[in-house]
Amino acid sequence: MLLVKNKPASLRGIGVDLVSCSRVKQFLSRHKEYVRERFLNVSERRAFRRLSLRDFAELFTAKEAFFKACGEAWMGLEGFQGMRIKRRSGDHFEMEWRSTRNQKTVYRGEGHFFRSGDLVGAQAMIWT
Amino acid sequence: MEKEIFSKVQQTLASALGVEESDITPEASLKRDLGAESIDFIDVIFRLEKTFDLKIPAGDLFPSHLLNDERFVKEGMVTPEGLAELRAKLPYLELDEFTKDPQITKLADYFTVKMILRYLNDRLDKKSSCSDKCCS
Repeated sequence: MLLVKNKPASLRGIGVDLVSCSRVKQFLSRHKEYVRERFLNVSERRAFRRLSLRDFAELFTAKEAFFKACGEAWMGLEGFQGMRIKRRSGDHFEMEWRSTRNQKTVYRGEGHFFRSGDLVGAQAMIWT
Repeated sequence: MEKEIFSKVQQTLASALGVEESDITPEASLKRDLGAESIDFIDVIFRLEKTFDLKIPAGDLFPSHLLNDERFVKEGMVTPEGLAELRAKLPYLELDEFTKDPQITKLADYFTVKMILRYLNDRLDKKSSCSDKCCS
């Protein structure tokens, strides 16, 4: 399903996040099973039967960048699970997040991944 | 008991955040003083769960979807109703300083070691009183 069907009217927010692969590796070596149960949502669990370091780094930075673009407080594991990411061609992705509290609030956006040495990053833009 | 919890929290945070145990004081802010980033918050939650053998539900220690409500946050600022909700739902969080400039994006600066200690003391007290009752 295409989350962002038409070019929306105006930019609501921009977010950027960056994580080091060595930090992700250390994190996953300790918590891989917890990550599957508590960070990934059902469709991500299906899509990533074997979660690689790169998969997680991209998912994490995309979700974190998206949060920042929303201008919301950090919402923890529940917030991360509520986001849906759709990978598009190349390093492009689209995202959607429906507020768990107020179902009328739906954030939609898009972004790109970038890499440099040990670092993986994502920038996300939210449209009204 | 409290000393033992503090010592375990010091070890857990020092290991998760790559800082010295002596840096882990009750007043230290996880973000501002100890340099914690988002992945570190998740790491800390998972490590505390393993160390203390308990599950920390989403939103129990750090605010989850609590503030994603138009009554509680307006134009990036936590409203008086939002502050009351935070106090009710997260009694471990010290909000006196935050209330002077309640910008939602600055809330994470107020996640302190003391907040974690209060939370764990409370949870572990309840856990032990529950197991006492179960045993008697």
